[in-house]
Amino acid sequence: MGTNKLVVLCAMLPVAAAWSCRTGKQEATGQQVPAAEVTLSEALRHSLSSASAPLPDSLLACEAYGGGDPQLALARFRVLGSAMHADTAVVRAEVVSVADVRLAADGPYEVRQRVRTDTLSWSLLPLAESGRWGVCGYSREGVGFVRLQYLQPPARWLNGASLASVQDLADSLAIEH
Amino acid sequence: MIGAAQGMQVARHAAEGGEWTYSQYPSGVQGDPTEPLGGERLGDCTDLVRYAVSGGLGSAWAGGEKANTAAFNNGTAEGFTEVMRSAARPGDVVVRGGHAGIFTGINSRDEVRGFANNGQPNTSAGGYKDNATRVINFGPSKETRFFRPLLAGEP
Repeated sequence: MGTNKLVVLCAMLPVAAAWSCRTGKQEATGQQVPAAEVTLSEALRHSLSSASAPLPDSLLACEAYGGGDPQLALARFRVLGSAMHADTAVVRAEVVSVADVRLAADGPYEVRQRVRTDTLSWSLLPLAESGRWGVCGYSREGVGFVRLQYLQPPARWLNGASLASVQDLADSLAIEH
Repeated sequence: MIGAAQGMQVARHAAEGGEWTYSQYPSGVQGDPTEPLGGERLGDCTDLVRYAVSGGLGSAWAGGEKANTAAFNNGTAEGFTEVMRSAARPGDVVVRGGHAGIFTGINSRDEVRGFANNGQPNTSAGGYKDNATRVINFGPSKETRFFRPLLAGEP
């Protein structure tokens, strides 16, 4: 198929089509989706504690409302793999976080500094306008990522933690794969 | 617990509340609005929930302190009791992770619909967003929890 024909076909595809316009082929259930892995990697890079700019909307296929629960301060990540499930690409990644942020029942956010490794998964859907994959909201486990520099009193930093100590810890672990 | 007709009062009051300007600044988020946009109400998703339940039920509601999603998720939300998803009906509170709204129904794909003040705080990876106050898809019913307001005098 020529490039022009592929561009026209991609523009006509419905949102739910399980088709990668970057690779130009239909993905079957269970098949790996490298293009979706690239998108998740890009989104996680924008979610790192050291990221200077917010996650761009162009990487998102669904709204993420209200903040994740919990929200993690991300130090590094490693994409593990992907598989198609109907029209959705499910991509897994190992994430190393240095703090978790939760709403306390009495109102303010609470920051707990600790190092933890989790394996999380995200749903990615094809974007109608670009044919690329977009991340659908938080991780399927409900976890989001936080920009700690925007917390101010009355948020509580527990056990002697501070923005500087969390950022230093993140920097010491920040080896990206 | 409230009855079905009272649940409809809650849902109606939520919808009649108009547009909300999303903000979590009282919880400590710098960069979230401290004032609403013109003609709107200021708060986050659980502020809309409290507005709907308190206004829809008046003195019939058991009341309590404002309950955020953490309080719902850990079972300490005053004035509410959790109900099974098979028993959920319009006017109940729907909670999924860090978001909450007023339950309106479940569609044919088993997705939970709810009226909510939508947005995300400036602390989110995507930065601050103030999305339209409207009915949204809260996701698969097995991933959501439902809470029904209690009547005054109920334990």
